[in-house]
Amino acid sequence: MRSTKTKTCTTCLTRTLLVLVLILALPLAACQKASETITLKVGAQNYAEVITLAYMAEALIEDQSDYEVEVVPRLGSVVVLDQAMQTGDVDIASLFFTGGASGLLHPDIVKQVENINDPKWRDAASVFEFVRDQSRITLKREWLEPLGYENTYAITVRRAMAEQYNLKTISDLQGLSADLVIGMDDAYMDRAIDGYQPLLKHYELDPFARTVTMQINLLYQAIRDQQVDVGVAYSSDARIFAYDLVWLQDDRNLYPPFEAAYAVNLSALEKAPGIDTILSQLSGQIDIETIRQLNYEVDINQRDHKEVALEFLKERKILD
Amino acid sequence: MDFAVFFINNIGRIATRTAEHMLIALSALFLALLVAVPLGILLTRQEHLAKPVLGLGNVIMTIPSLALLAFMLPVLGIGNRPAIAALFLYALMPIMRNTYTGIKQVQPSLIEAARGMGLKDFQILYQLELPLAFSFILAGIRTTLVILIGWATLAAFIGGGGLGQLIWAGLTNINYNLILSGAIPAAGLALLADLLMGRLETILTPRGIRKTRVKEVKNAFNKD
Repeated sequence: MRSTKTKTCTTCLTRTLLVLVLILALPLAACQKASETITLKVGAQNYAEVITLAYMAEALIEDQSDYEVEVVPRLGSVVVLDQAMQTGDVDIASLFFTGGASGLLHPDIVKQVENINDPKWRDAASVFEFVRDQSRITLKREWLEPLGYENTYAITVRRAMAEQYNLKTISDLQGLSADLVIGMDDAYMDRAIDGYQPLLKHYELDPFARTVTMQINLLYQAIRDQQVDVGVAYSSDARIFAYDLVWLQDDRNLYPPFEAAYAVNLSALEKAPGIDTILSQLSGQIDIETIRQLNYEVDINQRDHKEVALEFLKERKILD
Repeated sequence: MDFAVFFINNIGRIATRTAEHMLIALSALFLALLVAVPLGILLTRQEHLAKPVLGLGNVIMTIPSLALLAFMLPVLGIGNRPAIAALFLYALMPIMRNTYTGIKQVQPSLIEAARGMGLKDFQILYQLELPLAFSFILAGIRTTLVILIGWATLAAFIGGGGLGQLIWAGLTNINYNLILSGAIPAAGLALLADLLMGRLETILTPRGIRKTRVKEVKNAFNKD
């Protein structure tokens, strides 16, 4: 009886030791592997174009370098992406926009702005330069040259309504707004530079009959289904065309530039030199028509982001 | 400090959102009570229905909230109605199940004794089963209300307002004060609701069975 007990204990001790050795050895092995290949993470938020562009970055980097790339799509909000960049959990942001909360209105950048209503914040070149310089200093990230399109706020209405009231510009809403329901995403209400209040003031509009804030992906169908009359949409979204909405011209130049660009952590550029050059091949390559077409493939034709991304790169002969 | 200033400057807006939030959660709870409690009682009378109906309640609980909201949008439009409808569906199951379990745990010997004393079916329900099941039902309502207050933040997705609007606006504008001004009142509301419901439970439980009831409820939950 006694000897069996001792025996069991010896086996159990050996086993424990074995397990311990394994546990200790595993991370060591993992470490060794990591030192051989560098893995870069590309983070993207939760809508079509930024995910498609993330897969383009993956394809390009993996094709033209020895780095491994992992796409982290569907991050719930810009806060998550921004934080992930700051902690280094994500190395490359796909994408940031110059006039957005990741750019000019980032809390660490907007602090440096004296007067947000200064006309120079409506100029694409000066905003990009300012955002790039400030991001380098305060956020330790490098903005690559913009891709070539802007994803700005687009005031949209149904075509039938545009024709009925002869609406072409935002100014045309004067005298009408008090009878209309306006829909927007949650962020728009609180944007100091071009949000709901600045919109009313800049265009001398009466307050709308009702303001509704909702998730941007649900906004388009709400406009189509006449639950909302005027929608603050995103200009690159394919649903503007799929649902036959009319984009009213920003004739008084309210909106700042919203140029789309990749941003890379300075730390990532150090550990993986050359990725900025690789990604810069896309700079200036994607105009608004192109991104709308890509978004159309994903959002309306329900195709896979990665498939659409690869198809584009091959079509443009950036990838073979 | 920074947050305190922000909070005070925006107090009107935060109060409006809080009121919207409570309206959504309480309306959903109220509607769910009207349906789920009678349904729970019915299930104890029609045993063969219990499994499929409670199963259906479980299935509803598994539908992802954003998907449910998206499906309701074309039918109920935007605003707080689809949000209330969705939360109503989510609230059915826990209330129905607790009502059912509460009545089922009443000892059969007591019911037999009541019947022996000449009580009619509805008298047994009102004078015996419901009072004895009361703390179960209330416990179900209490949990449900706390969950609903948490889930009401989703109303912001479909134009329903509520504190979720502040949280989402903060998240998309990288404004931490705005996130907190939605999150802290929401958490406070949930705690307050839990506290008040706890009080209500003590007040409404007949004094004679207070101590033993607590024990019985605990035991019954442990058994599950």
